[in-house]
Amino acid sequence: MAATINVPTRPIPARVRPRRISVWAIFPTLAMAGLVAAGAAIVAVCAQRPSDLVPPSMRGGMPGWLAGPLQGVLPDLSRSTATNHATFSLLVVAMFGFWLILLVTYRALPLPIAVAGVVALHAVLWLAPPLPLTDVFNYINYARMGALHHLNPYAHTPATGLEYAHDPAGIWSNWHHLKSPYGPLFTLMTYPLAYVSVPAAFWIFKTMVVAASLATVALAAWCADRLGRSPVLAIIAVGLGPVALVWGIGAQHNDSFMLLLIVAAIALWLASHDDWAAAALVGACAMKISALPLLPLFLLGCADRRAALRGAVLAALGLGLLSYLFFGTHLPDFATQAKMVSSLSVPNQLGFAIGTGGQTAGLRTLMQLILLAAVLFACWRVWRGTSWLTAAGWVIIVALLTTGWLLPWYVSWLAPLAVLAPRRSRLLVPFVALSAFLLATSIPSVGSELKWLDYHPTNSAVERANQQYLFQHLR
Amino acid sequence: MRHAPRRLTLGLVVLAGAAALAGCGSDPLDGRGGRPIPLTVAVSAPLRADLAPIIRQTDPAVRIVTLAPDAAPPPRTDVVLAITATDFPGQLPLMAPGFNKDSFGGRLGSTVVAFGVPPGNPLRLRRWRDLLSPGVRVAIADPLGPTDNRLEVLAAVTTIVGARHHNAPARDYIGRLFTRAAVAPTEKDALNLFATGHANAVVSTENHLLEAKADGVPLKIIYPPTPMPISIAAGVGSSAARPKAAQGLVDALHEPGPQKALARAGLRPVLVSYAPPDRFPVLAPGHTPAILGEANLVTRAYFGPKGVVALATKRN
Repeated sequence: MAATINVPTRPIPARVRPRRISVWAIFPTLAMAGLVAAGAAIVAVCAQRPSDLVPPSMRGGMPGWLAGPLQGVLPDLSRSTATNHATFSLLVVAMFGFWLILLVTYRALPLPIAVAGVVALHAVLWLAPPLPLTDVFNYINYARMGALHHLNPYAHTPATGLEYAHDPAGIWSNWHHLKSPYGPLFTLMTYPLAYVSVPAAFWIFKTMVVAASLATVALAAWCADRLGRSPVLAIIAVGLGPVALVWGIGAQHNDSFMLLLIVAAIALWLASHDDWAAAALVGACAMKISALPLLPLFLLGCADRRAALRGAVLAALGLGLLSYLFFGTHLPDFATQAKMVSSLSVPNQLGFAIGTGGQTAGLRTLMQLILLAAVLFACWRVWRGTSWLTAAGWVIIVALLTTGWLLPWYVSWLAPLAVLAPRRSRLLVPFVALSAFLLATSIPSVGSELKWLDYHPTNSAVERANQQYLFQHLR
Repeated sequence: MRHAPRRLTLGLVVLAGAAALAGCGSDPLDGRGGRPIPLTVAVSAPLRADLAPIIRQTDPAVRIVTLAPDAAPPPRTDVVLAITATDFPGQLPLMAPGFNKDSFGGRLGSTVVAFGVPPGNPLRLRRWRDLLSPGVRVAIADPLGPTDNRLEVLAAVTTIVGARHHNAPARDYIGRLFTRAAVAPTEKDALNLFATGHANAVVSTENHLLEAKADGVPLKIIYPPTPMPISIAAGVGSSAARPKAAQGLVDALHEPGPQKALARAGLRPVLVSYAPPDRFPVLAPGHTPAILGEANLVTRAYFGPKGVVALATKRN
């Protein structure tokens, strides 16, 4: 019996035939309108007045440049925190419902409406104040530390010499006792923002995030088209997921830049430029280390491994040199952040279930070993012929399930892989399930939800110690 | 073209009508020249001197009245700025229901009680019990004086009761403290006693200590561990004649300008970014007076005619 050799091959591109607009298009079109309307309502609610829905407003107030042009459109909005939390939560849940309808009925949705919807939602979020869990002013603060105060953000915390207390960006930022955990490429990219005022830097960064996200969606749709999949589905999955939109784009997180480089790598791979694809993946790792598990999978799964390795090594050398020139031998502080724990992350809940009271150091090590094993297993599967996109998707799922520091917009890492991996990988289902889980555990009403369920996951010594560790760095 | 003047007149009439309609929902006017009735702001007695200029900067036309813990409430109050530790729950009905449900919890800022000691802290004062050490002569404002300075006593009592879970040690402590302390009529007088060398320590609120420091009094501020948080509650009054305008004033007091002014006055603003940690160290909050039980009993036990303070200062 002859052995079967699985040679990794690039999928054969196939064009999707344009469909005629059917009467059934009314359902996804209405869902799209609902999605955009709910997104706009969220922005209007958040922009009305200072609240914890716009975290920086609780530190420095709500000037017009922070609130955006939608401030004041809801003058009779309740002042009650509980009511506004419920409103925000209901609107995000409504967005999720509309998104599910779009995912189910995408075949009937005309491409121009999908494009118009994604652009409209991004435009609305571009006008928004920073939504919950934002880090935008931390990015600007680290940039000002490096560029203006000549303090290496990988060697010093913003609290060094109380720099943040007197810097205009420090008023709005909150990670004052944490060295920068962000990649050197991203950190350098933000340095020019230090030379403009904080409001200008905020709007420039917002524009960059929205532009990067739209570029990611466009590239994902192009890749889907090349792979013979529906570009509309790619637009819906990558560009309209409410969890990634609200907490990722609305909160102006830097994951957009990492994702853009990951999707660019997939596009370059489809265009037979494996060396450039590998370089793009190295760039994604230099934006944010979370992209790292994808690199070995690509190097093993691409058609021209030699060229890919060359591209990766050259990019790593170039970026390493750049990092050395600006930051010396200091590296981003991933270790501190890796020890942080989100109350409702899977390992923390597992800790509760097995009686440790939350995620302990031992449980964290176990989870890291599981992730390492998953990466090695995925590498072996790719070596044996599984698509590297499928393997990468499953590795990201394992990463999200094993990280103690789970934040809602991390689900966006999975979005392009869920639609671009071969259909038999069925990544779309866990992607939607994870989105639902992160939505349920991240909405502002989650406290009331847990109280209603009589579930008190923060009531243990381990959890209190984890929270204390977190707030030590947040002060 | 010949219809243009008529259209213009019609347009002006429509505009005037719209303006009149818009005015229907606004706050009541005083009837003399159509001016709105000035807002009445009730401010807690110990805060009046610090907050009055900030309020007047925000709205120069306001009428400011003083809110005393045991006095009858003013007949009409649009905005209330109260000290939760001393004014509540007695004056709580003055606030509109739900005032503390907003994002700031109905707070404008806060302060704490601390010790002022000579630079270098030669007597090594750290905790409340250190104030009873031999050689320490502490200046403190009279809680029965004209400005109702009860915060210092309440801060000590909540700390002791929080640690010992019993009222007796706290009563004993306050009695001993006031027996040996230099009791001044007001906080400023207490600080004067310290500045002129008649006392080698002073107990006061942080804002007064910061003000004295800024005035050149050589002192170091010592924060006792887990100090009692003293919140400045801000909200629309339950008897407000102009609730919308009152809410506007409360909102305006939460804007960066007044919040910075609050920080300059030594009070910790609720917008934490305007409280630089080199001026306002981050402190682990301690117990509130809620642990002491019913407020009336506490008031009687410490500040009544036969209370601990009156007995210790021989004024019963």
